[in-house]
Amino acid sequence: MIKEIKMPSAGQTTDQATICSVNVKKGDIVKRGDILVEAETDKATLPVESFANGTVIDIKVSEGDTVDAGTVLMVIGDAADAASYKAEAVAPEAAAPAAPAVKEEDEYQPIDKNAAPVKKAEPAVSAAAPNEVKAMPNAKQLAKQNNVDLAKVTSANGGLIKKSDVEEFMKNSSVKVSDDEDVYAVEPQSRMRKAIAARMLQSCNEIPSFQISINIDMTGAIKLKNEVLDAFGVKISYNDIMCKALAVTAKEFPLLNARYENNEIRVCNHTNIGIAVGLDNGLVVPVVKHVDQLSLKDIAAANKANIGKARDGQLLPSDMGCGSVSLSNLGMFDVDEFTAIVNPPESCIFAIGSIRTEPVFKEGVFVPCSKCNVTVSFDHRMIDGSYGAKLLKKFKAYMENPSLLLF
Amino acid sequence: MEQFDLLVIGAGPGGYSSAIEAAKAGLKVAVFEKDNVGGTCLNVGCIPTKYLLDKALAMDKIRNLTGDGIFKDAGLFSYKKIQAGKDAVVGKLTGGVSALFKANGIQLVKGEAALEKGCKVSCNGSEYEGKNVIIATGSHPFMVPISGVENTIDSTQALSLQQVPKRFCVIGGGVIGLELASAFASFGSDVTVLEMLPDLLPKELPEAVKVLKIAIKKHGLNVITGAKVLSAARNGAEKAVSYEKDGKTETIAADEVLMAIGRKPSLNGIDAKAIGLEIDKKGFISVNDKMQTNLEGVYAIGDVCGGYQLAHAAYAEGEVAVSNILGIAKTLDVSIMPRCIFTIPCFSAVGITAEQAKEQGFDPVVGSFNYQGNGMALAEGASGSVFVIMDRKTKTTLGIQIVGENASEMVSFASSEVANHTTLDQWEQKIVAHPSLSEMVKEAALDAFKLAVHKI
Ligand SMILES: Cc1cc2nc3c(=O)[nH]c(=O)nc-3n(C[C@H](O)[C@H](O)[C@H](O)COP(=O)(O)OP(=O)(O)OC[C@H]3O[C@@H](n4cnc5c(N)ncnc54)[C@H](O)[C@@H]3O)c2cc1C
Repeated sequence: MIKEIKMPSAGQTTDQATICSVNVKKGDIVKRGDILVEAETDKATLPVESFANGTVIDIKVSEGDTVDAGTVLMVIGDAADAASYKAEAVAPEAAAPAAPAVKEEDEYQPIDKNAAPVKKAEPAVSAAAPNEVKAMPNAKQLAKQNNVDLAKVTSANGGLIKKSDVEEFMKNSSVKVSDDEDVYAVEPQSRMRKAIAARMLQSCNEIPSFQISINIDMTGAIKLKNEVLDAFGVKISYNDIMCKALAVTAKEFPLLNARYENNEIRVCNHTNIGIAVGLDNGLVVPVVKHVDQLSLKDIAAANKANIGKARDGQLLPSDMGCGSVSLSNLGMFDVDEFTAIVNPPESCIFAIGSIRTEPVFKEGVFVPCSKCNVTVSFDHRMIDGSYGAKLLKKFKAYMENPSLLLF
Repeated sequence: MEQFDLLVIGAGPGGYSSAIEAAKAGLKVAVFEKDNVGGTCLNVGCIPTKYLLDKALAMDKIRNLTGDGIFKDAGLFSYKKIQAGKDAVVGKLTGGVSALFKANGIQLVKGEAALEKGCKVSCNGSEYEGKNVIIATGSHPFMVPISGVENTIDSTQALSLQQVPKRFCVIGGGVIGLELASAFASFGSDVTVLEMLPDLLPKELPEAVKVLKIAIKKHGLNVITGAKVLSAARNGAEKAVSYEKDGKTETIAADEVLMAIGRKPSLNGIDAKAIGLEIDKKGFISVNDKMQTNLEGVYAIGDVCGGYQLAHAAYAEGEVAVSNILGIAKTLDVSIMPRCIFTIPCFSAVGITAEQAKEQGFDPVVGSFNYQGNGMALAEGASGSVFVIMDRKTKTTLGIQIVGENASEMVSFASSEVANHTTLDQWEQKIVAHPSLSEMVKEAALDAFKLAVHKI
């Protein structure tokens, strides 16, 4: 039986994805679980696996195509399917009269008998039309990056101009880029780049945010980290401890669990925390869900798994976009302190600096103390200054005395 | 000379079904076909017209829904794609018939066959001998030789027009003319139908015909009866049809003129005189009720022997012929012949009319039921009427006629009731699924005795 491989849903913010690689060709034998196509959404690279064993009979997408969830990407079947599939696909074509091809627009007429006949394209549009060269998105992108005039590129198969056509053209052309155009290069924007831009702009435009900074004595946290390592051989991170402290704080300050959606303040029943993970080409925020129900060990494991997936581009849309708080930690880059932009629709984001040894005046003398600056940006639509301050006081107390987390 | 049990000339509905039936019964069969298997019906008749009419109906439905504001606008359609779709369906069906031949071991000889004396057939220079022969050569459009007949097209050409004519004139208000007129009216043509007789469908129940006439007029058919067509002139691309009505000559302009005034038997390859085959005064092959011609072992079925020129009549006649060839005596009974016209809305009839009932000595009463009283019809936005002709004395069902959506499907239910002479008591006991249009058939039957539940 013929099996159609369809584009899976790409998650909450979009159902659209761009095909970034097609890993098989027609006639290839594939097994269940083989990755046929990789698609990039605004949040992640999504591998599309085969759910069937068989031969690739037809590939309906190419690299650079934008597809919606449900779009048929590929057709897989056995030899008999291949034969019948062809027959199906060819029959209507063969049946179509060989009459001079009528232009698509001219072919259609209104069903409503009283409606005006189909308008011919406006002159302005039809004048512009010839200038618009039909090309695959990735071909357009490559052409733009290299200042190639697509109108000069010819398609090898007479259809849409493909990336390979542009590459071929560039190889053969001695067109010198003018000096003017040498001044800058246009950085291609991935979907992720565009998504980050859009969300951060949305945050700045829509979220009235304010910041509160606290300075945490990390001595207790450092001790906890070492004790866990000694006792269980497990390496936990400060982010893990902060997650735990946040989840406990949220019991008393439920707005930490809030999301601003549809003009409503929606307070979630659980604490879902996103950890910003910087990548070479952008940033993703995988979420650990139900942190309030997890042990420190579980939190550490979940964060570790998420970070690994993020680096490998394996995050699923469902791994992201469902938090109410995010942690952004730039401590490893020797950053004293910084502010972060709230990741909508979340209530706040914690910007965590590095742990540094500072002198603290204690009992008449300066003693060295491990300190960490945390600056939190809150969405003022949900959280006011005093609520934020009180919440952070509690958070600081938990961080400085991790044993209280047991209570 | 190759020997066969049965030679069939023509692979239309009559020919192909007889061949398959005979082969299934173990006979060695050859079929001769000069064109495409499937004959008129599959290639240029029933199936392609129904493809067009189905799309036409869909467009009407869209227009109605748009009128009700349920659809925001009606959108666009491509007639070219309709044509392509039609061709694809025809291809699929005729391919299916060829596959059935193969599966049943029937030898298909492509070429024009000539019938010779003594159950012999020659084709492509070879001779074939059969114990029996079935002539199923069908019919072709009859074009009256009016002046300018070359400016008209036949049904085959009309089915494959690549453009919707703005003005479409149909000469002949019979089944084929009315069906094509209905389709093109939906596709947007201004349609005029010229019928020579004073009324449409004179053999059917006048009450039903009246409902049909009103409905097709509403659908956009301008039907002019009592119009005798004189000529079809041509001026450039435009055509002008002149006709005489009530002693006056009128002319209408048209972009395409369809002549659909009837069909003639196809007798190419059948030299009746030379082989002594009897032909009736209208030119059809004469047969008895066993479908036997006057020649020993030679049968004729389908359009070529007249009678009902319908595909299912050809099937039925083929079955009778094959039965007799197999030695099982069988005669043709056409009293239960469903008659459908796939106009928009469609019409169907089975059994006899009130007038025919009177002639046969019955005391007919006609019960009726309007689509407006039926829940399903209202839900679907369907309209029309059902008429049931019953005998007052014996309270049995004599005939049923339906005008309205799905009449052509309901007629199968109606047929068994007429065949069974269903009585009033039996109608009362009958449970019909609700909601369905078929409920109206029962209601109309009960109405003959003023017992319909949903009628005042
Ligand atoms: C537009 C239109 C719409 C119709 N709609 C309907 C409908 O809705 N319902 C319905 O029941 N009927 C309908 N009919 C009628 C139906 O098509 C015919 O009644 C039916 O096709 C008759 O079948 P047949 O086998 O007798 O002949 P045909 O179908 O005419 O087949 C005869 C075959 O014999 C072949 N042949 C002829 N002479 C020779 C020879 N010497 N050698 C070899 N081959 C030969 C021909 O090429 C042809 O293929 C319609 C007809 C038309 C034209």
